[in-house]
Amino acid sequence: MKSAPHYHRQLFLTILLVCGLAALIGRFYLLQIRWHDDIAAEADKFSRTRRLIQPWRGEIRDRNSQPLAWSVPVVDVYANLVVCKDHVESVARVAGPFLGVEHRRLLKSMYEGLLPMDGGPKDAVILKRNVSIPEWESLRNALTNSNFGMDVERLSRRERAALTSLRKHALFVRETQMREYLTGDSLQHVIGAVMCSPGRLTPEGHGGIELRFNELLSGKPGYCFSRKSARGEELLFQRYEHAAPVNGSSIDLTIDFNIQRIAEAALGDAMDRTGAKSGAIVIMDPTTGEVLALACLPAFDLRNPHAAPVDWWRHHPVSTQYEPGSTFKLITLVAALDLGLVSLDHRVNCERGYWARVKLHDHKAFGIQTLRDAFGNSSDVGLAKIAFVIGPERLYHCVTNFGFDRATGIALPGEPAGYVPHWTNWAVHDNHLLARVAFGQGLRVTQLQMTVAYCAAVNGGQLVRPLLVRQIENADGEVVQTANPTIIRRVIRPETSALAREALAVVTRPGYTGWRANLNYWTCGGKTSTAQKSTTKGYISGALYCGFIGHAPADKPRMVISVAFDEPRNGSPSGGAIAAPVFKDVAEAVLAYLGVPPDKLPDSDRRGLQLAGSGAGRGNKPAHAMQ
Amino acid sequence: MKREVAVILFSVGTLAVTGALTMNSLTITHPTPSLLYNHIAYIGLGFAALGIGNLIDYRWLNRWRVPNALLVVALTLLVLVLVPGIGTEKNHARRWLLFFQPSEFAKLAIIIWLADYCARNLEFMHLRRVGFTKPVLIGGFTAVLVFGEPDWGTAVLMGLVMTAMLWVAGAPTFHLVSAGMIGIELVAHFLVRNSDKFTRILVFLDPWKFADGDGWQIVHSLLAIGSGGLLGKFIGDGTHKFGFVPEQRTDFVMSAIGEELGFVGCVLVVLLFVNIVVAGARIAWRMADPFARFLAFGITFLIGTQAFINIGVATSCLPNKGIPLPFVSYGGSNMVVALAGIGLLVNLARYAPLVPVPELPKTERKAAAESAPVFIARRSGTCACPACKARNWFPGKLCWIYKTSANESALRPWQRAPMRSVRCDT
Repeated sequence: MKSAPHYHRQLFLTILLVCGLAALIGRFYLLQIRWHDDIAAEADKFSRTRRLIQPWRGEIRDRNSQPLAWSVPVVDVYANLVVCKDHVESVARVAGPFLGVEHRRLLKSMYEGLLPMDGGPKDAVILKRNVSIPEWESLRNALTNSNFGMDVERLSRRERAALTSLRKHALFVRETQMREYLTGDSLQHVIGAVMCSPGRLTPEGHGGIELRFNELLSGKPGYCFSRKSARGEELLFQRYEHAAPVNGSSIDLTIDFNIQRIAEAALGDAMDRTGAKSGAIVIMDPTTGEVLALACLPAFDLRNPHAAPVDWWRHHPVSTQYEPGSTFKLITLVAALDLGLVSLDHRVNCERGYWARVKLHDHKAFGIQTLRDAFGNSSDVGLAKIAFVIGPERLYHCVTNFGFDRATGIALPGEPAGYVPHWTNWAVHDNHLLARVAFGQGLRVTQLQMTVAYCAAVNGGQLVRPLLVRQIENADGEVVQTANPTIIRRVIRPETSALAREALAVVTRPGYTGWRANLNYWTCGGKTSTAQKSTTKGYISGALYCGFIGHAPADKPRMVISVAFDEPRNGSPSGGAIAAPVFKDVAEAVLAYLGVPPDKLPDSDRRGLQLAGSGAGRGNKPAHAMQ
Repeated sequence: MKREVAVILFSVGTLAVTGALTMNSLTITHPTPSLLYNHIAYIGLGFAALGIGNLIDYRWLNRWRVPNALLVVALTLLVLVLVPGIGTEKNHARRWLLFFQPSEFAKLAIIIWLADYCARNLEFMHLRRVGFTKPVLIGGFTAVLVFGEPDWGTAVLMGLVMTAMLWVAGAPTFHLVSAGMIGIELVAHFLVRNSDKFTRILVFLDPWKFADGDGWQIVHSLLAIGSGGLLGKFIGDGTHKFGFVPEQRTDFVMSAIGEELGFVGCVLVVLLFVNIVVAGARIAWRMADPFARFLAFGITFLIGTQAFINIGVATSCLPNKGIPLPFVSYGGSNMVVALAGIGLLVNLARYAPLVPVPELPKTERKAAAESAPVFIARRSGTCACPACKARNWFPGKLCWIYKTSANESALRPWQRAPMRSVRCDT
């Protein structure tokens, strides 16, 4: 054996060590040069994060720039289940009163989050959405000062750490926004509710303008790309791309909030009085087509739409189709007048209430009348005869000209096209459809379609598109788009329109069906309707649809008001008895509000001029504007 | 040996600066830079230890009973740290005694003891009992204590270093290899019994398969190193320090360096360690005193092996073990002990004779006792330059160390360098 020192052994070990270290250089070469691109791409996946920056949702205003709906900052409160796993009950007990939720309910959602179901035990569950900032502040203070049922005096180190993290991290929030409304009980269907869909983080419109212009209102979300830590926290100083959000545009409606309130107050009273299933008022400017008010009852709460039954979410004047009934006689009359087939002074035989040829009943027995009176009395027989004079093809074309076969194009979701059977099919129905179309049966329209057609009939014969949105401003307050009145087509001649206004004025005269609509200080015109509701099996007995469409003043209409009630229960169910007085109340208040000069003396002042027993005195108490 | 000393000090300094820069970037997001300040304080302490290791007379370590005392102290501390009430437990391991790790101290102590043992029994190292049984039992006992903390990495490291030193000192190869195989079998036995550690082996074999769980650390270490590229993302711009690589301050500091300094930085770090190893080996080579030679070799081998294992773990060349990178990682005990070792190395380098010391004839022990202390190298007064005086001022105050060290040195007189051959390096 060779004796010490063993230089060769030392040399060998040293060289071995140096070779080992040199081999590491090769390893570094592989990792950092050869495989660099793949590894860098893989590493990037772990550290990249994208955060959505919510844009501020735009306002909805009325035509006077009065904000109706706007956004306020709120927070969504979440429970951090990782932290409060073992203290769920005490956390729920602390948070419950501040969130205004029963603590058992909180407990339930937290326990459900802890269950290994639906994607396993979750890290966090949402406790409540849309908590205002002061509420959250007070809740956080309460959490910081709470002991969570522990005895602070005697705690082990571990328990103390748990208590500290509970106080700090038990609940956390996500900042978001909530819709605030001028009044929650007004214009619900037009504005529409804004909610977060499950699984979405940005609030979305779920009805009305909010849904239709959701993209515009919600704006464009901003993104920022940055690095994150292993816990998923964004590292602000490692942000490498940032796209600022574009805030939502604001929308000015054509609706005048004051007129809307007038309409809603009158409608509410009338709903109470009549006990109808639903009611609606549409107020339009006939010349421009601007919708001044759009009231619909019953309505839901905009802040909590789910509290109301789903039926109440339906926007009846825009979405619900019904058989128009007598209001549609206006179209028949106008068609005949425009074609020059009849004049208002032509006489028509109303067959004493029953026309055997087409098995048609009138609500009252009328003899031979001028067309003006037959229209004023709403004689089905008289108008059916006019329809036979016009003929199915020409009547059909007139009806479609008035836009009953398609949607009006108002900026609201859920508007159906009308249903008008083609004239070639009119004869195949067992009951002669030509006669029934003449007084508004056998076709389905919406209240808005009917109102728009009425506007065309009284405004000089031009069919206008109903306007709901007046202008759109972007987030900087610049007007991006202004809606101009759109004339779709000329439907009738202006002279015919004048005749139509004359015939409509007759209806509201004392003694005719719409006498209750007669205004005190303004001339007006209108048409009642009392329609039976139909199903596929036929007409339902006792289910009526009572409406009235009128305009004022009579010669130069400033507005068209359409009132409709679905299945009123109290009082005599007819358009003249139920809807016409509402028209009168609303019209007087609105005309006073618009400052339209009175063009007539009150009826009481010229009582001597009136025929005795015409019934004009009964309904004509001096009306005050309902404000 | 001036050149070797310069190389070692340059490498160590550069590594310490690199470590401080890395610590700076690792604590860049911390609310207070206390960790960085700690690290810098450790470096300061470590260089103080380096100075002390440089200034003391190394022969004092070779005195009768001193290495034994060191070993006893190390063993006592190792036993103490295992006592549940005394040792501090972190990460399921009981490694800390108040603020320092006895296992780090034990590494140096066992090297000193073994160097002393080998130097004393130099002639008989080829015998089984002297060269194998006794040192392996004692060293093995120390390693088992460390093993039980549990600190497998340090235990394996100590075993490697002790085996290497024994082999270099002339221990029988056959026995060492046999014992090594038994040791490997023992480790494998514990590995299979201990599912946690066995998972580490599985993870080592295919880290990507366990990327979400146990392989997270090693996978992200690889991702960090690989995403560095040639030149790295520059100091402070790494993204893996945000919690992706656990223990990045200590065991996986190489991943931070690899990401921020790139291939160039990694190669530089490896080359600095190669520098230390080569320079240390050259110093050991030139030592006339067997104790000094074994000590120098042991320290060099310890630092080199530790660096190799640490970097190998970070690059997934070796299964996961918790060993810090000397001079670079965060951690006071390791830093101070490693730098103290370097101090000893530098100290030893001063004693390299100008000419290779010829093999001296073996003499009777008796003759050694009788020989007059003519050849005793007197350190003080060797040179009258002001630097020497300044250097010898503090040891002069501690005169019991100073005086007795020369007289009671374990060096046989004929093993000491002749008077003229001692060179003043200051």
